[in-house]
Formats: sequence, C-alpha cells, structure tokens
Amino acid sequence: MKDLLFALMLLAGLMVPLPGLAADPCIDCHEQKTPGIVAYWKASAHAGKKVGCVACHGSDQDANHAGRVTVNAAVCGGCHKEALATHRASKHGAGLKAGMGCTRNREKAEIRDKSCALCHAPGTAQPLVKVACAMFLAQSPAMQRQGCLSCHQVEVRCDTCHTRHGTDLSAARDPGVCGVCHMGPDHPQLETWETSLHGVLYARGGKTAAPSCATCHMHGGSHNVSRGIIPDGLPDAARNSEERRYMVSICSECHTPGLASRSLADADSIREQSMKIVAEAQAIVEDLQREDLLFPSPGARPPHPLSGNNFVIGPHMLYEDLSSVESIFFKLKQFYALIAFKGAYHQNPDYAHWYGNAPLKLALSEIKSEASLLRQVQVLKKRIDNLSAAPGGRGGEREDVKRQLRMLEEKRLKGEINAQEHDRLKKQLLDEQGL
Amino acid sequence: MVLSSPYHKAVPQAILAVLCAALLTTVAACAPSLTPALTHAAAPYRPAAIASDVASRPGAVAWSPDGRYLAFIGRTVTIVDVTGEPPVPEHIAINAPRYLVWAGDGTLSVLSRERDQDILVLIDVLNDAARTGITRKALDRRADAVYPVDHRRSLLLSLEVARLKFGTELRWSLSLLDLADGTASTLLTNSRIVPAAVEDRDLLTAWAHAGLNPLDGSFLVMELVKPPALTPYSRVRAFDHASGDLVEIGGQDRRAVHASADWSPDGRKIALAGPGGRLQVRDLQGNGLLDSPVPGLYPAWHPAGDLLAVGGALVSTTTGESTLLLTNSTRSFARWSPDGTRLAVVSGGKLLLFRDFRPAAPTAAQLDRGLKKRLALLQELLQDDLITREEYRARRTRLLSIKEDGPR
Repeated sequence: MKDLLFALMLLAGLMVPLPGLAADPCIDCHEQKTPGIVAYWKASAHAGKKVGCVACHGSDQDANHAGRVTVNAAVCGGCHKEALATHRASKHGAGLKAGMGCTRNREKAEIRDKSCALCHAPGTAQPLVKVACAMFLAQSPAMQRQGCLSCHQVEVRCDTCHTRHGTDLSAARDPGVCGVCHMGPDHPQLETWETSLHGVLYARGGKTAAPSCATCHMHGGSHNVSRGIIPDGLPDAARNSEERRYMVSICSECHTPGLASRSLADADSIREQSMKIVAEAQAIVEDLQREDLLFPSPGARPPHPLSGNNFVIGPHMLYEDLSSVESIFFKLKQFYALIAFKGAYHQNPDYAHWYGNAPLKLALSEIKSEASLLRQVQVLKKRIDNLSAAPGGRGGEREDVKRQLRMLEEKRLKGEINAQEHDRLKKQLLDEQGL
Repeated sequence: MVLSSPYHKAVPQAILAVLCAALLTTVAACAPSLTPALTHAAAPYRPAAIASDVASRPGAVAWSPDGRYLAFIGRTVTIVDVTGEPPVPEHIAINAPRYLVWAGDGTLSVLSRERDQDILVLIDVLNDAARTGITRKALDRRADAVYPVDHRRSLLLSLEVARLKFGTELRWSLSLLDLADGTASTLLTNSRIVPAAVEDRDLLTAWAHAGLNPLDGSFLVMELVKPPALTPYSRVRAFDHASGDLVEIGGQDRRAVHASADWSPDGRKIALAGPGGRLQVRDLQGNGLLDSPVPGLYPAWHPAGDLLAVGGALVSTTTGESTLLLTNSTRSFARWSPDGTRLAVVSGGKLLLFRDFRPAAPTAAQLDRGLKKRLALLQELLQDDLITREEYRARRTRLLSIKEDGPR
C-alpha cells in the first residue's frame, strides 16, 4: 500500500509542469505569429533545459503584448550568475562608463534609490566627469535609440552581444558581433584587428590559427572584458601591473612574454604621447576661448544640454555648432588619438601610424596655424575698431581718455611701442584720471 | 504665513519677531510718549490715503526724481502730483502693468503685457505733459522688473517659479536691454531649488527689490543655500553687469536666512530682512552694523542713510531704535521721496502717504557723485575694450575702497 501511494505521488510530481515551459501559453500563438522566434528557441539550449517564454518574459501577457516588458541582464543573471557578475565588473557593465550616464539604461529601482549620485557630484548640479551623456542628449530621439543606445545598452542588455532567442555561443564569440559597436573612427578595434596579422591569420584558419576579440578580452569565457586593459589615467600602479601580467599571460600562449611585454609597452608609450598631443591641443583651444576667438562663440550657439551657453571641451564636448578650430580638436581627440594607440595595442602598424599618428599631428599643426591666424585677424580687427572709434569729437573729458587709450593701443598694435611701454603709459594715463 | 515659509529653520526668530512686533504695537497704542523718538519723524504719524487696490510688491510704487510725482500700479498706472492739495491723480491707460521705475532723467518705465507680449512703456512725465510721446517697446523676452542703467540701457529681470515634486524652483535671468533698438542680451541666468513647497511667489522673489547698487550699478543677487545636513543660509552677491563678475559680499552670515535686501543710498551697506527673521545691516566688507528683531519683507533706506522703513516700522540704522507706523504690515512696501521728507507705503492694498519727515542732509551718496562718475567711466572703458578685465577689477576694487569722495 505504501509503495502504491509513493508511486502515485511520484506520478503526480512528474505531471506538475516545469516552470515556464509546459504551462507556457505563448507557444501556440507565436508558432503562428512569429514562427522564426519559436523555431530559433526550440533549437536552443534553453528549450533543451525547459526554459520557456515565461521564465524570461514573465507571465503578464498584457504587459508583454504592450511592449512594457524588457528582458534585461538581471533576468539572465537569475541563472547566469557568474556571467552577470563578471559583466558588471567590466567596463561593459559599469554603467557610467559603458552606458555613458544614460540613466534610461538603468534599473528603475536603482535610479530611484540613488538618482542624483548616479550622474552628479555630491551636493552639486555638476555632472560627474564620466557621465558623458551630453552628446547623447543633443541627439534626436531616433538617433538616441539607433545610434547611441543600440551599443550603450550593453550595460543592462545581454542581447547586445547574444542572440535573443537562440543560445548559439559561436555567434556571440564572432568578432563581427564585437565589431557592431567597436568599429569606426572613434575606436576602430574591429578594423585594426581584421587588418593586423592576427586578423588575417584568423580569416584563413579560424580561432585555432589566431586570436579573435574573445581570445584576449574574454579569456576563458569571462564576461569581464576589461581584464588585461590598463584604464586611461588610472594611477594604481599595482593594479596596472596586475592587468598587464594578465594580458601578457594570454599573449604568452603564442608569443614569448618578452615580445608581448615590449609590444604592449610600445603601445603604452604611443598612448602617452598621443594624450600629450591632445592636452597640448586642448590648451590652445582653451586659450582661444579665453581670448574670445572662437566663432561662433559658445554664447551664440544653441545651448549645450548640460552647460547652457558655457564653453565645453571635456567629456561633455559636442560635435555640433563648433568653431572650426574646435571641430579639428574634436577629431584629433575623439578619433585620431584613439586610432593611434588602439592601432598599436592591436598590432596594426598602418592604423597606429597613418590613420592615427599622422592625422593626429597634422590636426595639431592645423590647430596651431588656425590659432595664429585668428590672433592676427584679431589684431587687425582691433586696429580697425580702434581707428574707426578714435575721432570722438564730443563727450569732453571721457572721450578724451578713450581717444588717448586708443592711440596707445594703435601704437602697440603697429609695433611702435612694446607691450611693457604700452602698459606703463596706460597705467600712467588711468592714474592721472583718478581711475 | 510664517509657518508656511520655506525658511522653517527661522521659525524661532519668527516667533520672536512677531512677539516684538506685538509688543511695539501695544506700546505705540497705549503709551505714545514711550515711543522711541526718531529724529527724522514728526510723531504722531497720520498718513493721507492716496489710493486703494494698489499692488503690494516691489515696483508698484515709484517717486519721480524731483519728488513731485508718485506713480503707482493699481488697475492701471496712476501718477499723482503730491504737491497738490488734495493730490491730483492722472490715470494712464496701460494694459496689465506689473512694474514701474523712474529713471534719473525723469522717464517713467513701465513693464506691461499686451497681446501675449511683454512691453516696456516709456513716459517722459516731466517734459511731456500732453503725454503725446509715450513709447512702447516690444520685448523679445519675459520681464518682471526693469532697472535703468543709463539713458541708453536698462536691465531686465525675468523670474519664473515652478513647483517640483521635491521643492520649488526659482529660475531667473538678467538681460541688458538696448533702448535704442529694443534688443536684449542675456547676462546671467540662475536656477535655485528651495527644498519645500512654496506657494508664496512674493517671498521667493522679494530680493529682486534691491536692484542696482546706487554707487557702482551692480545688481544684488540673493540665493537660499541649503547645504546637505547644514543650516540653510542666504548668500548675497553683487553682479557687475559690466564685467560679468558675481562678487561675494564680504563676511556672509552662514546661519541667517533672509528674504529681501536693500542697498543703502551710498551703496556701501545693505539691509537684509525677512517676514519671520531679523533686520540686519552690514557694510560690504561684512561688518555687522545692526541686528534688530523687526520683521518685514521690503526694507527701504531713507535717502540720508540712517533710517529704514520696513514692515510698517521705522528703524534707526545707527541706534536700532524703532517706531511702528502701521500695525499688521509686515508685508507692506515703502518708498521714500528723493528728499526724504515723505514716505509712500503700500499696506493691505492701500497707498498711504506720510509727510513731514526731516529733509535728508547732503548724503554720502551725493558726496560720492565723483566716484560714481569714475566707476561709470571705468565700466565704459571695459565695454569699449580699452582696459582689460583684470585692470577693471583692480581699479574698481581700489575705487570702492575709497571711504568718501568729493565731486570731481
């Protein structure tokens, strides 16, 4: 009798539907409406493991049909805990770096709990330096969705790299998937790798012949894509050498550690010299701004989404409504400098030199030349203004002071007196007027 | 009103202030002989009622530079010749007037709104008796207050109050209007959030009443600062529209909250007040000169610079003695005639005129006329790019450090 009872209980237990599958109400309809998705899922490891629609999409049919349900990284992380943890430890998952401060990428609860501190420095309205969201905010909603969030949603969306309803990992590991975002003038990692010897050998023989993106940056299947990369400006020497040791150990699977170390050290050096050029160019542009030589001036531009009509050149710099010299600087900083050192890190000589280093230095020359011309034009303009305003005629004492100051300025601009003599005479005149 | 104030930290002072006001009222009503004697005033004070339904806010009342006319905003703009017996009113049809001010050259500027557009109306009251030369200039922006800078330019202040879920935001901007072509350029914008629900717009914007410093033309800016976990305080700065500098007024009291302020006639002191706070006078170096428990929203300096009208009371800035003119008038708004003999007060919508105050002696403001001219020239030189910003700052600081100056 006991055996019979046990057998009945076992049978009843087996009849209980597995969560998210047997009771899944979606399949019947979606086999008609979206057969491709269902077929894709049926061929996946999820189907084999009985992970059905409800497991990821939830059971609220109305919300799903209304498009209010998003299968975000936290949902995947319910099962893929280690993948989520390593993803979050990486630049991809670090939000304010990868998501570039787009708060709409973040979990609602997270925004609610620490909404100000996510983007602003404590106690101020000043955006955090790393919250480089201005470029995003300046775009149209369509461009924000297609041009920005498609990549920057990687922080909270696993399907940025993985297929949605399939689980074929070879697709996620394909360098082309990384290249969807990591290509183009701002960081051409795909192109630099593809046209390097690594890429050429990979094209001939696949992953056994040469490394792909995942070989070095997701070694052993880790989702921490930042391992082995020394972050820009990180002053933590111990962490830097640990990251470097890690990357050299990966390179050493094919190369000698000495060769790998030397190659990466060269790339470090190229990064450092590129960033010095960026700093030099930035200082020139900042000087021009102080001298009111940017046209249009920041005050005459459409307001910056974070800083209004103030001059912006840091991480929040936009690429629209700029003066010519700022446009050159934008390309120098955002394109050429990065191409130069990323080309070097990916062992691509042509990218490092001709697509990166050369235009970087040419752009610096262009900025210097432009600055010199702007200053010369300013001197000429001042002389014209000075001369055209000089003959006052009326206004008595006040106009007389102005006329004398203009004459002094004209002498200085023409080079008849030097700056020191000009300042001395000017001071003397102003003192005599009791000013 | 006090309890609904955002300055809830100042409630103990408010209670004290209300008690003091009540005490003064009782003293004034029961024992006139005990009223502190203020040398300026001829007690008892019997005001003449000039009008009712007058707006009780800054910019609703202004004296002509010769002290003959008083202009005020009621249903429309009215100009009263106060030398007549009885005073003779003249109504000028201006749609939705909201702010008026009299410039030194006798031009009355009135901000109004017509067909959903802000308009600046200019009336040459003293020279155009027939009122044939009234000029209307359409503004390209909202303006809530206007401050004449010189005969060519005025500053426009735009104020906007928005209720947020977590507080109240005051957004304002200051623009320079070229009176010749009507174009305006924005000089300064600001946004400040008060972490409380404030329905009282007048309380949030009362500081704008101070306007331009009579000596150097800088614009008084007052903000409520609420640092995390610290006591809120009022930050007072002066905006120099010539250089664009926002200059901290020295020796800020990081504990006191004020709602409003007024420059002294010589431009070297400020009076700070609030309906639930204390009346304080400080010089620009931050030295406290007076701290008195008199509540009031709009302090107004007597042209002699030694008396303040605030909250329906007169307060000596030298001794701190106070005399109550009107009870229950914390929100009243006063304007002294240029010679200091008359005081126009708007309280509860009524415009009252007090007379026979002692005329103002030649004041420091008059003695500073030469200095004022030199500061104005310095500003012109900067605007014409004839001196650098650094030269301007250094020389302006040096000029302002001169204690008292004779005419040049």
